[in-house]
Amino acid sequence: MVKATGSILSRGGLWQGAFTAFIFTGPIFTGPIFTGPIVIGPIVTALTFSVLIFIGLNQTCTAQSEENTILNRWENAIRPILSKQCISCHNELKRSGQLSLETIRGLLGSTLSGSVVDGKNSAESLILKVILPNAESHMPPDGQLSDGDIESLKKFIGELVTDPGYQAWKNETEQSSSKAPQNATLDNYPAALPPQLVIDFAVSNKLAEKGLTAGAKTDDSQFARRIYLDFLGRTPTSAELRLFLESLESNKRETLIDSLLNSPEHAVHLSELLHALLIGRKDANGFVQSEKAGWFSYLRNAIEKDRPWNEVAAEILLARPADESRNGAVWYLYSRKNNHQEIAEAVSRDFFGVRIDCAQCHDHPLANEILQRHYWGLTAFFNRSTNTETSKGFRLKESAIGGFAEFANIRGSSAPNELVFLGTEPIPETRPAKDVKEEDRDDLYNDQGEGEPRVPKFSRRQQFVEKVLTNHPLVSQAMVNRIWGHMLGRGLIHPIDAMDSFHPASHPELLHWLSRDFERRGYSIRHLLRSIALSQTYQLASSASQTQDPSLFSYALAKPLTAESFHRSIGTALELKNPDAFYALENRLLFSRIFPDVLAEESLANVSQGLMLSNSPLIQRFVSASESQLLQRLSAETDTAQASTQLFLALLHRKPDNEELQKCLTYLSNTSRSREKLLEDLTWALITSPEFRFNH
Amino acid sequence: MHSVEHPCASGSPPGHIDHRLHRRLFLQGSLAGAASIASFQGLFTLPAHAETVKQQGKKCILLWLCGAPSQFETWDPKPGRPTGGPFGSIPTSLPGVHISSLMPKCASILDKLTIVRSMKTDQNEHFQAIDLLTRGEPPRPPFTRPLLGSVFAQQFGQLENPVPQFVLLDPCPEGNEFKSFKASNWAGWLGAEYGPVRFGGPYKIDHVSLPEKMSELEHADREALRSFFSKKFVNDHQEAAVKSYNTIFERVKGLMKAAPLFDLNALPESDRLRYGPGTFGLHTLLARHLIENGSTFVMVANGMPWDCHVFNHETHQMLVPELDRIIFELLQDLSDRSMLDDTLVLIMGEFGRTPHLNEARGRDHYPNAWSMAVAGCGFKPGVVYGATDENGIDVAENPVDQRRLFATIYQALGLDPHQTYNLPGFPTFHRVEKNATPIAELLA
Amino acid sequence: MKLELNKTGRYPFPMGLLDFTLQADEKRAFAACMDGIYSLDLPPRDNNRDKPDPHRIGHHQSYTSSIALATESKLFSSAYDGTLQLRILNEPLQSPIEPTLNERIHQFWSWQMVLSADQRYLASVTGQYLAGSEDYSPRVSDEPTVKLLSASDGQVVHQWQLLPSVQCVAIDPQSKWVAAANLMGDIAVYEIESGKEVALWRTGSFTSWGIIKSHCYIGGIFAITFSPDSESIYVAGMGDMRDPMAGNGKQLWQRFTWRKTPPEKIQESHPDDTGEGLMEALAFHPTGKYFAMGGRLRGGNWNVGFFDATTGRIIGQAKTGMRVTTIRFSSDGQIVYLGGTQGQPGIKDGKFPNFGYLERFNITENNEA
Repeated sequence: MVKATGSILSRGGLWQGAFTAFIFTGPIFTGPIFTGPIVIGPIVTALTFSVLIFIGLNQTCTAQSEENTILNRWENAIRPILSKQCISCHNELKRSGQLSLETIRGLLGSTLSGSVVDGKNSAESLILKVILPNAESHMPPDGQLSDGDIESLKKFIGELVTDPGYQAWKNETEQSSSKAPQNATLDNYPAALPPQLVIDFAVSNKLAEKGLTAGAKTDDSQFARRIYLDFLGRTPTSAELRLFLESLESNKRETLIDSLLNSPEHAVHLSELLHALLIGRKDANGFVQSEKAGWFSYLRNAIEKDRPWNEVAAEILLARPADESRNGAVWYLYSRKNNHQEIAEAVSRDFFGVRIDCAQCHDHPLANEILQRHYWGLTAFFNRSTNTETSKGFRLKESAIGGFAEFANIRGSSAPNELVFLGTEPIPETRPAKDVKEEDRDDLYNDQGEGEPRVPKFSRRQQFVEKVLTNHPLVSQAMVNRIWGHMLGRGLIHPIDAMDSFHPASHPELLHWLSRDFERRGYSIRHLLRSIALSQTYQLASSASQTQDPSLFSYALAKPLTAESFHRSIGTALELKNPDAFYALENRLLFSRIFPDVLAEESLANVSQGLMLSNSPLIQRFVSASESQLLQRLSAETDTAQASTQLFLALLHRKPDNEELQKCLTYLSNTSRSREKLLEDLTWALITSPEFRFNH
Repeated sequence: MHSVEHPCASGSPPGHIDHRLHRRLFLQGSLAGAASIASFQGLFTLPAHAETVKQQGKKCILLWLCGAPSQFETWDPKPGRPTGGPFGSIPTSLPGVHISSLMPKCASILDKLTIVRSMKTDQNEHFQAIDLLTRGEPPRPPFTRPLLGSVFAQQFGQLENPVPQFVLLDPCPEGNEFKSFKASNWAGWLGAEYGPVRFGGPYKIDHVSLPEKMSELEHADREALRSFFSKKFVNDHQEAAVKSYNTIFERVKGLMKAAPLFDLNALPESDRLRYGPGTFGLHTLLARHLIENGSTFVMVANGMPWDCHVFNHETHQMLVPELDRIIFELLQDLSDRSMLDDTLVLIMGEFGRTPHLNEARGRDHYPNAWSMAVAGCGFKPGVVYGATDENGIDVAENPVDQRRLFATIYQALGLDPHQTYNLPGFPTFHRVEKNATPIAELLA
Repeated sequence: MKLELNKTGRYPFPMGLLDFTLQADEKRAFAACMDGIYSLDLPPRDNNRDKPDPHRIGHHQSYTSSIALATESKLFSSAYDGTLQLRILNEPLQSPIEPTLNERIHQFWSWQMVLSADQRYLASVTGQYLAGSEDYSPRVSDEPTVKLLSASDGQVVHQWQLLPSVQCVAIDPQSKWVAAANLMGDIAVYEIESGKEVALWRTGSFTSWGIIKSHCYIGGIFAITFSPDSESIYVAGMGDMRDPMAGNGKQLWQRFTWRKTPPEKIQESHPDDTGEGLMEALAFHPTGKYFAMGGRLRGGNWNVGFFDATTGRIIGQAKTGMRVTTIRFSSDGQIVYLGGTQGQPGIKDGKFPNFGYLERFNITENNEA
């Protein structure tokens, strides 16, 4: 069943535009995935419920469209007036002041100045006031509606707000503007259902709709490599793999998942990933500064303790650490060096999964819900904050005054920067009058004690955390989408930082359910990782005999390893004698410069990567018997078949097939070069092969 | 972050259906529809084209004026009109034809150029317009149409040639929309081997020397080994990321050999003085040098400096004279080297700029009526095609969209514009869609 | 002290207004517009209603950028075609008035031209920004970029070389010094009598090298004025930003004491008072107690701000909805005139709507605490 929001403007059906219609495309699933009665019941109920809504709305629609006196008057009398005098600025595209006067819906909509039609006292409507000859903020700026036109408009509005359709429309828009999206299917699943079941259900459901099925499952070896890479950021050692393969436990995969999640390496890996996303890899100086600020240890600790993500987010964005162990949280904001716009762009992307960069100069041209006022609103939450160093560490002090401005769009019309962001109402705040100079007074602050900057009684950052961040549906959704993307190679909304109306989710109900589950489980990232890992969808094999749409998740996507994972996997596979040298900062930075992608929309290689792997001194030095215990050991192995097999097992976690074995033997039989050198070449060939480079 | 007047076609009168919504639905529709199609890009390893004859010797330099240059300050001035701006116009070597007073050198050789003054396209936003004007067709996800440069490399290039066939010279790491575009998949369904090598500014060719104590032969042997062991995995995995990763190694040896070609300092100082001192000019010189030495398609850009929403005349006063000089020197050099007949020089941006000046002393985006210029291979020199009205607001005669432009370009190169790409499992794609015909008046 | 401004007049011109001057009796204004030179009969101060039409009395081949009135009958104008024209005004005013002087003084634009207070000199600045290096810093000009001319015969008195593009010029109230500033934020001061350059320094606060989109220089200083005692120089302009195409300008002024070696910045606008915008005009109130800075508003509360000359803090503001190019106070200091331009509108019914404006405001001083 598909739900479509009718927002197409059609001239005849004036009210249709505002309603939501439910359209059926057929039975929901072709075969029961779950046979338990618990599940069937709610779905059936959902079906019935939806049918009733559909019928009910349809009747309302029909009723309205027969009542068209208002429409006729709009078409014949009002529209022409507005077209002549108002539409050049107040059209659907330009929307000056967020107002469109091309449709009745536009006339009734909310604008920068509030609603221009007053439903309770229509004669007092704003639109009627500004068109009067001596009005302040007179409209149109360089013209004047005739007295007759003003009268017509006044009469029309008076009739409009008493029309029964108006009230119905008003109720409908009030409902649909509430934060939670409406979902009929998965929403009715019991909250206690394990997420992995819900995932598999949703995925197979969509596959079934298209007459497709999922592919085969991974074998244990493939699974082990994959989960080690996703959770620890490296491939398993031969010993680790052997242990897993030899285990006779019936749920050994679950056991492995849990042990990896509890490993300190997991915290390191995930914190590196988060760091790359939240702050981004910088040069050596930037790295050292982040380290000194306690940022890495803060993230590691948060992962280790599986701290609720909403608490961590609040801590990072409030940047008033409760104790010095949480100092690292301040670094996210501090590292932006008081660039408030940069902060807004980062916060929106990192915590809400939405890119708002485009909305700096005008409303987003493609995603209607992202407005310029959101960009400047989000900036305003942070623009009273400035970096400061205290005896307790880095802090962001906040002023109790200032930060009021107007933002102009590229057409020059300006609006005040209210404290507002996506999906929320503006937070009330007294704006000083135009010429009044605000005075900063001590009584506007609360002292915080030794070493901490005083905090304004009305703290914009605090307001943001309490009124916007807390319980914002995008916060859980962004993290769910991101973790899903990390595990499955592609977000449910892809790219992962474009969760806007222009990028529909591949499985919207699943995303919604997982987000609610994430919230219910205390925003636990570990629970989410675990659940995804336990799903059959995650455990599908990657090679596909026929390609299918990757957004169907019918097979596992090959995911390029991040720089850190690639680096670490090479190091692990080689069994380094001098790991410290290999992992020196400059080498880590080289990898991150050459392989910069993290959860990219499309990760395409470039030739500098080939050059680095082929010719860099780093690779040359460590892929050698002098630095690698593996190579040293295998160089001493006289049985070339044995050596080749061991090499494959160590690097690719599988035995070579006949063809590959033959190739190795032939290569190793070259007597003009040392066994050592030939093995180095073989090792190089395997670690630079896509099979090593990718998680699959 | 970009600046956009309208998200789609400009100038729609009041009362029209919401264009924004229309386009969104269209795009959603194509995504939803394509999802059920079986195949995806990167499926095939060999380009499967009906044409087996490789056209030899054709080359192209694309001077990509990203951000979009003002036609009023270049090829289609309107002196004395309210939209004309402060610069006047000058006569050219073509009787009756005037271009901006900022381009005296091109004026003296206008008989060698082909100018189109009636470009009329419908993309107003940078990313989508760059995409449109470099690939020739709006996107149809999930299929990615290759860029003109990739088509060139595939048709005229030699993969065995160590010199990269398709090069992007652009030193600007940023650029908002252009930056996003540079990160997208350029070679599309032709395959990663036809994607560009990027050079310029921070984009250097590092690690180009053989590792110590390794001979060329050993280096090659090792690579052959890697290639062998990669085959199975690459065949079994269809992701573009996998294919592209495998392909880059094929380029390594060639780039190592070709690296010295990218050293500007190795070129005569007199050349550098003629094209330089600015980066864009020096890179144009480098482009000439690369195609002289084996490259097939070089795209030269320098961020998006032409996007003058602010200070249009103050910035164009510097950009246009540089462009003027560069075109002059380049055509001179190509002609001296008898390369002009086989080399296509394209000079354009993704749209034009508005007739009216905004409050920030700038001109905004304008796909409704704009100009571009061509020289060389297959085009008839000394032609000025199409015209705009006296104020430059609309195209008055012979509008040209990107399809007809691309059709003309392909024809000039000796390629059939309507040839289909035979891609297994794909819908039928042509080089140019909708049977758009080449413009005969522009062809030699 | 706080200032309150009340608009008393708004007079449209066909195209953008880049400069204007007034007769001493304020009965007439002369405007330098993109499409020529206009005269406008101004209604009396208490008349808010009438909107007289301007009359075109002359034109240059390109935008008229500056205009000055000497001895009430000699009207000088300079333009982006590099010419200087002089028109003698005889009553009744003709339309057009033939210039008695029409001289090419620059190869490139006259970015700005000013008349000295003693009316003996005209200073005009030029300079085309051309690529001078790999990173597109400006190339040295082929012609002198700062010229001092005699107002009586138009002959060159002195000329100087300052790196292009030199975008603004000022002569001090005592008519002893010429100051000019350019794209790179260089400010030079020359002595009229000796013709010597007496100061040259650079402020980086107004110039952008577009890191994001445009690897070249944009912006610089667009307005320069001396303080009433000639000891300070004030400058305003675009502002330094990473992406000049997007974040458009800073409402910033800086004040330098230019006699020191090296010249020192002694004051600048306070960040709490200012927002974003491209500033192009500076003018001192006749009493010297405050000055105005104006331009285009991009983000903030005003596009014309009035600043206390002592504290440097904002004491009044106006938001006029246009890009202000010139500010002039009436000689009795009770009125301020703003000349400017809005964004050029598209053609409507076959005609181009007006987009240049001259506005007139009453100034009321509130002397509370």
